Amino acid sequence: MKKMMTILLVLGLSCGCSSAAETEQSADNEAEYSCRYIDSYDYDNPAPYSDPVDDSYYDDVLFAGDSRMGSVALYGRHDNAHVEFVTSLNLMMIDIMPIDDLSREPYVEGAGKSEETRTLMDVIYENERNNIYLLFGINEIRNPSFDAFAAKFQEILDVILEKNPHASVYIILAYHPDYISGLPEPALTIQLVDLNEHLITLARNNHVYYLDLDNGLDDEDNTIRNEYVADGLHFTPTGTHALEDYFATHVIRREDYVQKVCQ
Amino acid sequence: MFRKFVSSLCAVVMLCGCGSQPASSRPDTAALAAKAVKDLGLEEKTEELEDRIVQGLFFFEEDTLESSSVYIHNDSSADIVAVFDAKDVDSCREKIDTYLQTTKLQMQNYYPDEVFKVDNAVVEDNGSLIVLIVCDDLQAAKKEADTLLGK
Repeated sequence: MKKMMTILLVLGLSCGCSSAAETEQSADNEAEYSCRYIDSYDYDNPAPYSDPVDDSYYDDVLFAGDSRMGSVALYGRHDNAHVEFVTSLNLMMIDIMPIDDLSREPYVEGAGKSEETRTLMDVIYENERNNIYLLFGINEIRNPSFDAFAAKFQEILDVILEKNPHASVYIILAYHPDYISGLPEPALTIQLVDLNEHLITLARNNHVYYLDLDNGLDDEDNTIRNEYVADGLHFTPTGTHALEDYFATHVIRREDYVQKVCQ
Repeated sequence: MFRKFVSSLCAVVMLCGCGSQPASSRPDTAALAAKAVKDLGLEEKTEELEDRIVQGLFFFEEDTLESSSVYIHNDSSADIVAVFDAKDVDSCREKIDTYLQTTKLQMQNYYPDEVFKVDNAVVEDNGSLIVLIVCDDLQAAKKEADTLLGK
């Protein structure tokens, strides 16, 4: 069934591509060649293992997310990566809540709006980098529905893809924390599954990639490894390095999947 | 004669009916919330939310609200000023309680200093209008809510 869906998807894509495909004509030959790009990447599945990238890859990387991304800002080994996060971010307020700045002074009453109140949405609007990693959703995990969250996420993807249609966007699924206060099991698992299904749908619908950290960073309990998180949720230095290793070995190289076919 | 009298009476009753509930009698939630924000000195710390964002934060059932206006913190606090003109006050208050519980859990994790404010959130209504305020000055918040509700 899954295979059939994939074939259908590829066929659909190839049809879609052909309508807007780049057409090349040879002036020398009488025959006309119509060329199109076929993308064989399976957007239904998480990014697979790849050969690791080197440090220069991060020259072109933006990491954006909630406090979980803060670990990358704190303990990450790639100074050339652009990392921005908002602690306690609710995605509905991504264009209101100011980004965390580890060196920033606390809010001062009467100080007014300034550079200190730049939001993550400002960062996304201004971004020029081509590899964009997005980690959102844990603060919404108690939501009765993720529809509004997904709609807001779609708006963000629209902004990114309109500005740079060739950006490689990676949606990072919510990994399974050891616990979340006020949300005991099995409710936590149910909510995570629901949230991640919405994220996967977003990835599929927008032809962007997704990363499934649970498939690599979990222990035998299917929760994030204890040594990787300080409080059950946020990464320790060791966890952050494992996370970075995961990123480095799950990079999609478009040339591996997109082929130009001329007939 | 009697027919004329009945017609006149009907017309008067209809006019009275209209007069008791004209369209303009609904409270102006936007103006009330803006006033509260100004009175509490929260102009710089809060921003007004679009309706769809309000829905994404509170998850009101359909037909719960006539209108609403919500100003929310643009910093790391739990500050909020909200005025809801509710069709279903109980349902609306229930969603507000859920919002406050969730906010409290968030604040416990990240900004524990804010928990006291959330615990002491002002949530008052007058039967249709509901005011929600979370801010530093609890007494001023209570007084403002009473003023907005005409108490």
